[in-house]
Amino acid sequence: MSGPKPKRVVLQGVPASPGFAIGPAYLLHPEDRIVKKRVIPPEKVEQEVARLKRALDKAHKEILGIKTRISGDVGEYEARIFDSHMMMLQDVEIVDAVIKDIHENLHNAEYAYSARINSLAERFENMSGGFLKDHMSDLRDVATRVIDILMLSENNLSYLDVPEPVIVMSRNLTPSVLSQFNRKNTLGLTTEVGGKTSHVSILARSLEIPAVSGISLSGLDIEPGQTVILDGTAGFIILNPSLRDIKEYEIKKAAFFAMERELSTLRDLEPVTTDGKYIELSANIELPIEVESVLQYGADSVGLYRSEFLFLTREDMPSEEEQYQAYKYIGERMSPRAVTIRTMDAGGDKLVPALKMAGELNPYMGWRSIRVCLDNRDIFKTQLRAVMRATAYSNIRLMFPMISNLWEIRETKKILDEVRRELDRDGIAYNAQLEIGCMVEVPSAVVMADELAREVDFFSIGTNDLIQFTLAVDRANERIAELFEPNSPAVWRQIKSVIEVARRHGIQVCVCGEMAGDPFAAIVLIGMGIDELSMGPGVLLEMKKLIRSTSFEEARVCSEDVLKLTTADEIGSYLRDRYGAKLADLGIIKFPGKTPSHF
Amino acid sequence: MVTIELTVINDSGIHARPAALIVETATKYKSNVIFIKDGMRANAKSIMNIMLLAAEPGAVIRVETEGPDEAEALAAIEALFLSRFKYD
Repeated sequence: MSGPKPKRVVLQGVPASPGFAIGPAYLLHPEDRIVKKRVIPPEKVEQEVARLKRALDKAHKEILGIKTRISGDVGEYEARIFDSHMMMLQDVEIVDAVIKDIHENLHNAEYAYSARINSLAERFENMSGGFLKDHMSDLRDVATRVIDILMLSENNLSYLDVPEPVIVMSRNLTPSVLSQFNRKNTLGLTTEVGGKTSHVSILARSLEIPAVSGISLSGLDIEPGQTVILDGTAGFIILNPSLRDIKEYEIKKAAFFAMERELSTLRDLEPVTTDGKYIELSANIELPIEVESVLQYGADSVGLYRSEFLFLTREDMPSEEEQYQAYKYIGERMSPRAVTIRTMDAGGDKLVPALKMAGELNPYMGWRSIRVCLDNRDIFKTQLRAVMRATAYSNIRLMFPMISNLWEIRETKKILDEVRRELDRDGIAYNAQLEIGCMVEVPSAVVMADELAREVDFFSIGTNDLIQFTLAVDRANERIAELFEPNSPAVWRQIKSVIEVARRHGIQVCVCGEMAGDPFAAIVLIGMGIDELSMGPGVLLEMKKLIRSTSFEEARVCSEDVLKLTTADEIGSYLRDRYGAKLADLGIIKFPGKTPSHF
Repeated sequence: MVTIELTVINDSGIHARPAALIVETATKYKSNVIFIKDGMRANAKSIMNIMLLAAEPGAVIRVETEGPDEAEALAAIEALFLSRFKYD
């Protein structure tokens, strides 16, 4: 090669899927494909129309296949976009005009089709408002597929047929095109449009292809085959990288793979203590789509699905059908693992617009949670009905939040019985052996735990509320934030007593508050005899590492020591002295001397 | 022929997903279903027609139905608008 050395260029984009790649650039310009115009002999017109119809039919089948896969992998809502794509395929505005063009002007099918799409695209371009981009990309996705099928039937060539490992650089890659890529030869991916939450980014993450979005190809001086470094974690690419860049990224790539390997080894190991006690590890989630990361991190179950997130982001109430679809999706995706659905826990800092909840002076102690549900029976019954219907298909458990007296749990069970009778009457299936549980997060429930245990199949201790109510410290009030002390002996003694009650009644007990994910607190909880810990998916693997290096017997001794101490400071320093160095060695905490966080 | 004026009240207007729902609903009926916005007439059984309307949030659309089941078709379209296109 002659001329000056090409300049090193760093292009900042948006991180779309983590990981690193080094390889030759492969430029993908689907809309730049040249569709040749041919004139067909008049006697071949019907044959050409038939070829078009076969291509449309094939495209329809392909899109249907993608829709089915996406609704399984990503979600039914996301998959619904493909319904509109299938309608575009059959649209009279397109099909009739193309057939007319073939008949009257004797144009070949791919030319007639692409001409029609171009004329519609022009009308989109003249359109005002924010639809332009979306409509264009939907239309292009559909059109590219049809034209590809038509051209493939002619000369058997495809731009998807990538012969060697490359970094694919595209303007606007659609999920349907990405899903057809040869995964082995796709080292990395850049797109011009779309961000972290775009469909193509979600798909790239689930396929574990590093990706950066927001990289514009227009005006970019890049030759096919030129070496590119892609950093999907930080969200940039380097064109014409230096030798040092390449060395650096070889190391990063190797480290990334090693980390993935280590974590993925942990993913398939059981959360068992060194002396053989199994601690069920589960995840807290807020959105159905989070199920994917729960599975990726190898959780035993979903220990807490915060169903109120279905209600928070909208002005109206989600219908029974919508709720049912969400619950069913999570249940089926996790199956045979269990999913604990907590009924709507509204109020406090989570106001549901449709309920017109007013700001209160003391919202955490106000009209919230189960109280709201018992005051709005119709809304509550709709949710219970949706959950019950979903139990027919998977291992779902039902949990009620903020129970503070026996009447509330008994009344709730009465309503659930009404729902069961209605479902029986309507002949709708549900799991008759459904397990129900309640949150223990109000001190009155701790005191009455013995009686509550007779009403339910499991307890789940919500530590955030239990701490604020026990210590009378509003957790939203920054002025008293220091008083919010998880290590308070008053908190630890209550947790211990709830676990003992559960033991006596032979029911399962879980901790699903922030304390479950704190390594110091988790050791004490394990020692006290907790059955299950439920936490954010991101800390699951580290917690598994901790459990696998801890003995239950030692944790039991530690928990007994903790119960003898009388101030939060003493408990904090005891745990730090005893476990700080060990947790730092395991790489779970960075500084052994650091006070246990205020979770 | 029966007719009604409807306002697009969801957050993102008639993009691809609501458009698909409209077509799905309109094609259930024998009657013709026409959307009119700013003098532009669109056949509600064609997704391209609906997309070309570019109906943004707040847009006012006149809906005309004509045929043997025109009243039912109109009611179904109205219900769809009022539901904010169900799933948005």
